[in-house]
Amino acid sequence: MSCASTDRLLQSVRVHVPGVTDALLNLETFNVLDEFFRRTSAWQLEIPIELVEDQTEYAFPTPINSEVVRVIGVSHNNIPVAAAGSQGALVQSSLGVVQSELVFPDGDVNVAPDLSNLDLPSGVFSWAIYRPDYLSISTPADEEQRKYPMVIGLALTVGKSCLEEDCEEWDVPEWMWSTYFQDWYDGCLARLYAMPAKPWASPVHAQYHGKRFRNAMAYRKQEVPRGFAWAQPGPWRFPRGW
Amino acid sequence: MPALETVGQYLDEARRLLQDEYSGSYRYPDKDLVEALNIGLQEARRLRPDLFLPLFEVPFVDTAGTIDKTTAITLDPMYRSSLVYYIVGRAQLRDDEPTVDARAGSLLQKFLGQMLTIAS
Repeated sequence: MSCASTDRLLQSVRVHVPGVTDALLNLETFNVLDEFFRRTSAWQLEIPIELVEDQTEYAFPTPINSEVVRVIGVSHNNIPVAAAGSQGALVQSSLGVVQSELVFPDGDVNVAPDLSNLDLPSGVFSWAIYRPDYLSISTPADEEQRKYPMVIGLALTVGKSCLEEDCEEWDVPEWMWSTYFQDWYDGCLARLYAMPAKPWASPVHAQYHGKRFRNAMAYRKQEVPRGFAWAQPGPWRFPRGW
Repeated sequence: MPALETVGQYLDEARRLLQDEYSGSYRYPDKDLVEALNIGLQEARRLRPDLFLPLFEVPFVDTAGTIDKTTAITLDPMYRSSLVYYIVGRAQLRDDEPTVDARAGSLLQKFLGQMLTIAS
């Protein structure tokens, strides 16, 4: 008998949702993970990129079956590199991420990079994202800068290609299946119980588990940038005694 | 017990409940039962689209000419017996004896109940 990291989640849901089919469970698990990762940025990945002479645009690869949600930051030689918009240059988003409505179906974007002033007076290049999976820097790296790789910090989510496989095959980091078990479990139950005209439909349970899932996402969203260390400040809470 | 994976297995099980197992003198021709199977699959698609994930392709068995009884019917095993109840119930709708009418109604209701409720 094999024991996949997804077994605990799938078996728990199957027991609590009698009659659910594996295909539906796979779809809703995907939807839950996608919502969770987009909201919390919990799946993070750093990709080092070698700087090349006379090159200002760099493609960054992502793991199979994953998609980029947002770029969290860029660093060079362990020093954070500013996004172009954060220092007053003209970009489409202050986070350096192109807004989805500006992206054409073929992946091109409706911006004019030549008109974007990415040059900063400090002499250090800045970065921006003009099209998915490509990062632009303001000036080609000089010889000194090329000694160190540029590191891109990404927040990822499950890619649509996951739907062609069972969730045991997804490349989600294995530790997440146990760490976020309760959160994803609540998310799956909430979505399944909320379905109309299903044998397992239960609006009351959907509301209960949906609230738990939303609360869990709010907590994880604040926990992620702080890490899992005990000594770090916890999530913000409304001041008591008011 | 048939695994209810092919058209032939659905027909065998339906005939068992219909007490119509003597080949050569069937009261319900294969064509009628297979058409009931096709309609039952469409009903299942209406009630439970999730059963036809990921592509929502509803199996269809051609009843023109010789029926291929080895044709596979892709449906989750949990819901296959419901389809048998639908075939039997629909077949018995054509009988006009009051007792059979009631039986047909209860079988169709059982199909509906198993699609939509747990305790059925």
